[in-house]
Amino acid sequence: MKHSQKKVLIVDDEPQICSLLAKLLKQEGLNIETVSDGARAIETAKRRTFSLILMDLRMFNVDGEKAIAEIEKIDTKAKFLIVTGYVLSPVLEKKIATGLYGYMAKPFDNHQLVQKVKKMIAGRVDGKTRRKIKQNPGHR
Amino acid sequence: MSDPSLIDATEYKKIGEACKEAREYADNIIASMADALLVVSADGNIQSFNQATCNLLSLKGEALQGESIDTIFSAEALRRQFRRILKKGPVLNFETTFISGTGERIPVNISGSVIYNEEKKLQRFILVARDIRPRLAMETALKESEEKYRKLVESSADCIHMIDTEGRFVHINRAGLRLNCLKHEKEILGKSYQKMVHKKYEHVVAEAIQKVLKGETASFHYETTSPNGDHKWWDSNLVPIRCSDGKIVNMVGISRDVTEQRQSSKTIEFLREYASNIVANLPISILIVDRNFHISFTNEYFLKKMGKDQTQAVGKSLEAVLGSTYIANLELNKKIKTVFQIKEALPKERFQFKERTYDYQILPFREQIGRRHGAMLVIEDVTTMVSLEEQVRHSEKMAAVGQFTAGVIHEVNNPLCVVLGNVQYLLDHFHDLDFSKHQAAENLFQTLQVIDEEARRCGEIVANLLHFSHKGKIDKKQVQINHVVRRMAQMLEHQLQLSKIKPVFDLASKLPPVEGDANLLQQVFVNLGLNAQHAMSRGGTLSVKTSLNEAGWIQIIFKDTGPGIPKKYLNRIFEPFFTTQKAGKGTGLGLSVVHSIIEEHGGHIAAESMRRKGAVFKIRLPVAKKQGLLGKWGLR
Repeated sequence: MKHSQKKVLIVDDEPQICSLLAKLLKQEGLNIETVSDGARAIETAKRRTFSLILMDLRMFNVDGEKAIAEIEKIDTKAKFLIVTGYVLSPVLEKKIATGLYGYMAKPFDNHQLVQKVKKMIAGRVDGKTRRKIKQNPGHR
Repeated sequence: MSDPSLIDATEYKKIGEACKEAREYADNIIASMADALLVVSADGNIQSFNQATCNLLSLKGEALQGESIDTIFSAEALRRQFRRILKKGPVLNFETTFISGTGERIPVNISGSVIYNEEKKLQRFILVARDIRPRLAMETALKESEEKYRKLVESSADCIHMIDTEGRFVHINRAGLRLNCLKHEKEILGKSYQKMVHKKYEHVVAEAIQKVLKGETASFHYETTSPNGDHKWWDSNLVPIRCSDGKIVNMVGISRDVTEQRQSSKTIEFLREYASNIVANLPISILIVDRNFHISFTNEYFLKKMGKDQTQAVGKSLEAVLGSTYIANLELNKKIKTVFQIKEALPKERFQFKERTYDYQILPFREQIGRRHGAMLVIEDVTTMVSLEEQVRHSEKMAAVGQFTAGVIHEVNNPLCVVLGNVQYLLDHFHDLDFSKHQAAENLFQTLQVIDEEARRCGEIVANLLHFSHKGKIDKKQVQINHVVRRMAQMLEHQLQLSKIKPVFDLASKLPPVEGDANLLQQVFVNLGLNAQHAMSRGGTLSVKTSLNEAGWIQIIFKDTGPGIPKKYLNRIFEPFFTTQKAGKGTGLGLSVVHSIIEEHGGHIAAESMRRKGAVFKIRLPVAKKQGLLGKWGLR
């Protein structure tokens, strides 16, 4: 499989969501790791690099937004797909609108989610904008 | 033979008797005279006198006989008078003083004559003396009374003046001078009364003078301006003064300075008008009710509201004016009676009349001090206030519901997400199956499809509610409302056609843009369109009108020809989950989403409905602010 090398981290405090997401993405041949909160996500990101991190926002311990900020410090090239049913903060909303992060609302359509993940890993959709923004941090 | 020179003794006797008779006659007259009569010899001795003389001088006859006149005259007076007599002739008339036997001085008027002998030599005086004490006393009394009146006139606080028949001032008292700011009588005496007053009162004074000249009394009013510029109002009375023959010689006027009263009465008039203006223009009905439950006063507002005039209300009973049913329902008479007794205001109460809400209160009222208490009924139309209160309550409720919903949704969302995801996962696996070989699998597939469908419906509700709980985060751009309406029309065209609904659009040209999110606004119009479609299950007309209203808002009106919304539901239709449709047919979220989106845009939505005449939804949205240079440069 062409994605065999790609590793994806799933962060969600709902075990059934984690397992659903893992199930869907494993079908696509991705290497999946799941954690249940932001603090563990940060720990995991310190040890390994991921092609994509699926992040819930509202979580016990460290929430998604904080975890993203921390992980970005560790891995400046990390990509995030926010999967949430929670209301976005204006800051996050702006970052999503400018293509810095991917966004998928819960409940999601399985096919749409898989497509989004594939595109982000390939860096076809959000990657371009992302690189542009990374080169010009003042925009953030 | 008789000697003529010889007079018969009888004759003598006769003559003597006649003489005696004449003398007695004269003596009698003299004795009975009330005035004193004295005969004084040329050398000044009293030769004879009458009884009145003795009385006047309090002397006995012997004391006077032969005495010098000096004893009764003061010497100086005597000398003076005698010199006069010698100069001016024989008849004299003068006043002098006698000195009585008791030493009292008695003022007398003396008229006397001088008797001369044949040689024209002064022989004797005859003096008639009259006691003038009564006359003098009368004169003094007159003088005193004159003085009294003069003082009275002078000390009066009013202006008292005397006017001659020509209307000129003859006299004016001190107060008159002071009140007219004059220093001296000279400034006014001889001047015309008529010319003293303001021009517009000249004829008033002239008429008054004419009236008085006819013998009547005149009361009139005029204004003056004093030399120092003081403006004064006067109330005046003018009366005729007659001389002894009854002819009118003068007029006396009493003028009272009423400037202060006049000014205070003007102030009172002003205050009264001021107060009655307030009462008349207050948008509150005021009724004053007397002890017999009759209306003694109403203000203009009440009359206007009731479509009555003053005569149809004042003096009429409360029943006649308000209608007995209302009086009975509100127990007005009982309450008013209570106010009569306790003399305190009752608490405010509320009632409904012809679809409007009124607050009323009964308070004690006394027209005049000393009168018994009546009652004042104050009625205020609070419909607008109540509806505003309801709106506030409603939006508070919506906010609370929103918060609550947000909490619930987030809890529901994850399990729902899991259900949906897994159902879809399973359905995807069934796709690869050949149902001709696995008959049972088809049933399972169909069952899963039902689960999927229902779970998706949950998903829609959640999505709508998410929006509902997610406020103030819209991307505002300038939006042409007419474009959004047209797009909605395209989207619903097919559905409306199926329901036999005819859409009618009346879109104002050149509408300014609004600031908002076109997608959200489209959702509003689509929801309203669908709402109308559901209401007109047997077909009808949906009209949509856009316009710019007078207050500068964009107004969008959706009107259907359905059965309308019952009044009791009008306040609730924007609440989440409120629906009049059968369970399972609608989510009850459409209008709540509409409400929340319009509020987010700083707008307002209200529903109106007339029974069986359909429902009307009126939306107002603010016009987008014009972008000035600052806005273009992103500085604002």
